[in-house]
Amino acid sequence: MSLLSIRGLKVEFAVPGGTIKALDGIDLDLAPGQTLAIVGESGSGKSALAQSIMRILPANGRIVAGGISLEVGQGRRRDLVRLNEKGAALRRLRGARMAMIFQEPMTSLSPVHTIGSQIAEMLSLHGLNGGDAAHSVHTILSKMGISDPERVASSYAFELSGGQRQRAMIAMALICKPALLIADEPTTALDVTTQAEILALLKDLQREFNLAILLITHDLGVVAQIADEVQVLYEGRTMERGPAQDILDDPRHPYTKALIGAIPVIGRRSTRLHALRETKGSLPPALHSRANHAPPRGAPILTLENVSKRFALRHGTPAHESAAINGVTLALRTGECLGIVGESGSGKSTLARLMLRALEPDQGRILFHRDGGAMPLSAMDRHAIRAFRASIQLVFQDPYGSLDPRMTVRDTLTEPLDIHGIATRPERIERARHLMRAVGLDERALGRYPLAFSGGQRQRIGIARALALSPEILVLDEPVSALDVSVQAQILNLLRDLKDASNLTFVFVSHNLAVIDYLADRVAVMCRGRIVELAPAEALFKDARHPYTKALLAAIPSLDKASRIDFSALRGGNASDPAAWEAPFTLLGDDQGRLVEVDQDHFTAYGTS
Amino acid sequence: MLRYTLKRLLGMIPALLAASLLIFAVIDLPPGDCLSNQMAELKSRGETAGTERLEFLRHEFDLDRSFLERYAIWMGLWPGSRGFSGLLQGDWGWSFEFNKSVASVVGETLALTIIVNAATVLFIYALAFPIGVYAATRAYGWSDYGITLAGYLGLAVPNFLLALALLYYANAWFGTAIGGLMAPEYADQPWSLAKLGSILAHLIVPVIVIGLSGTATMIRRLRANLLDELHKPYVIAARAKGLRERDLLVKYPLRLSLAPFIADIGNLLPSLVSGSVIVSVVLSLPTIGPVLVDALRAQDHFLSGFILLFTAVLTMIGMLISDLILALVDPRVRLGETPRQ
Repeated sequence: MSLLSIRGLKVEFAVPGGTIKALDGIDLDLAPGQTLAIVGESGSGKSALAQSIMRILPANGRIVAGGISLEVGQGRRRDLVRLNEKGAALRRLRGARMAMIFQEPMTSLSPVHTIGSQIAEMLSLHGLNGGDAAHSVHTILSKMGISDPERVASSYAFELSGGQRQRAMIAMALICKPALLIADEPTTALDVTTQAEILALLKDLQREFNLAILLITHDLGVVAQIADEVQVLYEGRTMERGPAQDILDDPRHPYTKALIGAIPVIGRRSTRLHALRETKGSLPPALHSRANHAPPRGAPILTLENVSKRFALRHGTPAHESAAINGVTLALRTGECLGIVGESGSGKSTLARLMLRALEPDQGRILFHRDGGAMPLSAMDRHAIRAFRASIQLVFQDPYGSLDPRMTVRDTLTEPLDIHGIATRPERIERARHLMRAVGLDERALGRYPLAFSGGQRQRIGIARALALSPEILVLDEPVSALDVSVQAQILNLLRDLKDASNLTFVFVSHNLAVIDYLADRVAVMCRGRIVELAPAEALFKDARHPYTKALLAAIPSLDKASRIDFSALRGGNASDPAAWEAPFTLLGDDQGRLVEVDQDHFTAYGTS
Repeated sequence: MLRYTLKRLLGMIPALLAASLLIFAVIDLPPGDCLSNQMAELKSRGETAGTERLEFLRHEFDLDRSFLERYAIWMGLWPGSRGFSGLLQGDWGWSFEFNKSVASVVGETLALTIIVNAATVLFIYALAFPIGVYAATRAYGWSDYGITLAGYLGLAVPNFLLALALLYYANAWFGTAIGGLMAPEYADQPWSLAKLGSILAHLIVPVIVIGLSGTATMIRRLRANLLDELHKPYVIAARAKGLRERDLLVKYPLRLSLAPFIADIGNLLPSLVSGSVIVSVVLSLPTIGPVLVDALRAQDHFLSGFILLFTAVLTMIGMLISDLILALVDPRVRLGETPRQ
C-alpha cells in the first residue's frame, strides 16, 4: 500500500488577467522507503506539486480538483486536500508525518535564531520534548555527519558552510521521524562534492528511517544516483513515469528523450547537444569588421604572472584577510577556449575579474599582448584602457540582473558602440541587426524591452552585447548556470558555433565540469585560489592527476546508475583541503605550489615545502 | 556586545565634537551678535547709559575674541575671562535675550520637552505596531485599504491645522482650553503628584497632534517591511514545520521586519524636537522649540547653540539606542557579518 497517493490533482495560480494551470491532472504513488523523483524544467509544476502536498501553496495558488491521500499511521488515511490549510489537523501532520527540505538552506533557515533552537522547535511543536531537547538535537546533528554538533547547534545559519546548513535543514526535517520527506531541489545550491555527500546522506537516512522521499529536481544525474522511480513533468502533466534506470536508459516519450539529449555528458563532447526548441543563429561575416590586433592563433594573448589578490574579510582587521587568488600563473592563448572550473570560493570569478581589469592584483602582473608587444594592465593609460576594454568583454551569470530593464534591446546593443564612438547611428543599428541574427533572435524584436524575453533569450542578448565591439576575448562567468537544461543546451550550442566560426578567445568560468568539457579546449581547475591542474580538456577528463580534480570528477552524479559516485575519492569531505592532499600535492598554509608538467601540456600543482 | 557598546560610545566623541563645531560655526555666520544688536538699538535711541554695561558683558563672555577661541571657551576646552567655564564644566552659558543663564531658561522646558517627546514616541509605537502588523497580514483586503486610507489622511493633514481644530472643538464641546502642558496654577509650583497628573491630562492632545503623521509613516513602513518578509523561504519552511500562523508570524518575520523599525528611533528623537515647533506655538506648549526660534531670531548664541547641540546629542543617543537594540535582535549585526542579499 502506498504512503502517498495523488489522483487527478489540478492546481491553478491566479495571475493578473487570468489563471495559470500549474498542475493539470497529476497521478502519483509513493511507497514507504522508496524514492520518487519528479523531474521537469522550470514551469513544469514540480514545485507546485511539493507545495500542494504540504499545503503551503502561495496565496494565489489553489487546488481546484483531485485528492492527496496520505497514510497517517496505523493504516488510517487522510485526504490532505480536504483539510483546512490553517487548521490543527494539518499542522499536526506537517513536520511530524511529512517534512520538507528546500533548495536554499541559507534563506530557508531563520537568520536570527540558532540552528539548535530551530531544530528543537520541531520537538516542542509536535509534543516530543519530553526528554532532553538539547541532547536530541546533538544526536540528530551527529547522525547527519556533523562532527561538532554542539558548535553547530549554537551557531547561526550564516556561520555555517552550505553543506552544514543543508545537513542542519535535513536534521530539522527528520528529528520527528516523518514517513515522507519532500526534497525540493535539495542539492542544487551546493557544490558538486557537497552534493555527492548530501545524496549519500539521504540514501543512508532513507534506509535507517524507512523514509519515503519525494525528490523534486531538474538534474537527471541526481535522479540516476538516488531515485527508484521517475515521473517526468511538463507543463503540469505527466509525460512519462517508471523505474528510474529504465527511463534514463530507454526514454519513450519524445520530451524525456529531448531532456536527456540536452544534458552535456563528460566524454561526449563530440555529440552536439540536442536543444529542445533549437533556434539557430547565423553568424554574419561582419562580426570581425574591426582591425584585428590579436596575436596569431595559439600565441599568448593575456598572461598572468604570479598573480595574487587578497580580500579583507572585515574592515580594519588585516589579520582577517583571505587569499582569493594565490600566485596564479597562466597564459591565455589566442583562439582557445579556456575553461576555469572550481567550487564556490575557489577564486574562479575573482580570476576572471582580474583578467578584465575589474580588480587590481595585489601582487604579480597581467600582460595584454597585441600588435607584437605586451603591455601590463596596471601600466595602461586612459587611452590604452579604452582600447583594452573594447578587446575583452564579459557575459554575466544572471540574465535578469545584467540587462537594464529601461533600455530597449537596440539601445543595449548599440550602447557599447556609442561609448567607443564606433560607426554612425544607422551603421550601429545595422550592426545590432547582425548581432541579433548571430545569436538566433529575431531582429524585429530590437525595439522591445528585456521584460519581453525569457531567461535564455536574455542571455543571448547579453552575448550579443558582449560581441558588439568585436572583442578578441570573451569572458563568460557561469553563463548557463541560471538556465534550464534545455535552454542551457541552446546557449552552449550557440557558444560552440561562435567558437568554431570565429577567432575569438573564450574564458569560460563554470562550476559544472560537463559544461566545461563541452566547450573548453583547455581546463584550469581551481581550488582555494590556486590552479591545481591545467591540461587539455580531453587529457584532464581521461587522465586527471591531482587528487582534487579526481574528487571533483568522482562527485559528478552520472546518468548511468551503474557508475555510482565513488565516495572514497571524496575523501570524507576533505577533498578541498590543500593540507590534506597526499604528497607531492600537499600545500601547507599559504604555499602557492608550483605547476609541474606531468605530460605534454598537462600541469599539476606540487607543494614546494 | 560590551566591546561593541564601548566602541560605539567612543565613536560618539569625535562625532559630537564635529557637530558642536559645525553648530557654533553656523550660528556665528550672520554678522553681529545679540549684544551688538542691543547696542545699536541703544545708540539709535541716543542712550549711552547701557553701552558700558554691554561692553562689560562683551568682554565678560569673551565675545570680542576670535572664532576658535570663542568656540573653545564655549566648550570649556580653553580658559576664558572667567577661567574654564563651558559646556564640559556644566556651564551652559548666558542668554542675553532673556537675561538669565541658559540653564534657567531651558531648565524646566527641557524636562517638559523630553516628557512630550517620550510620550509621543511611545504613542507612535503603541499604535503603529499592531496596526502595521494587522495591515500586513491582511494585505490587499478591505481592512488593509481602510488603514492605508486613514494613514494617508494622517500624513496629509498638517498637524498645526489639526491642533487648531482640536483646540476649537475642545472648547466648543467641553468648554476647556487645551493649550499649555499643565493647569496655570501649577506653572511655577515645585513638582508634585498633582502637577504630574495635570501634565499627563494635558499631554493627550499634543501627543496625538505631534505623533499622528509619525504613526502613519510608521504603519506604512512596518506593513511594507513585513510584507517583504512574509514571502521569504524561511517563513514557508517554518510553516512546513507545523507552526501556527500566529506564532510563526511573531517568531520569524515580525522579528526580522523590526530592523528598519528600530533604526528609525535614531531619526525620530530629533525630528520630534524640531518638528513640533509650530504645534508648540499653536498649543502654547512650553517646549524647547519656540524657545529655539526666539533665540535664533535674537542671535542669542549661547542659548541657540546649546539647544542645537542638545538636539545633536539626542540624535546620537537615538542612533546608539537603535544600534544596540539592532545588535540584540539580529545576530548578524552582533557578530559582524553583513546580511546577505
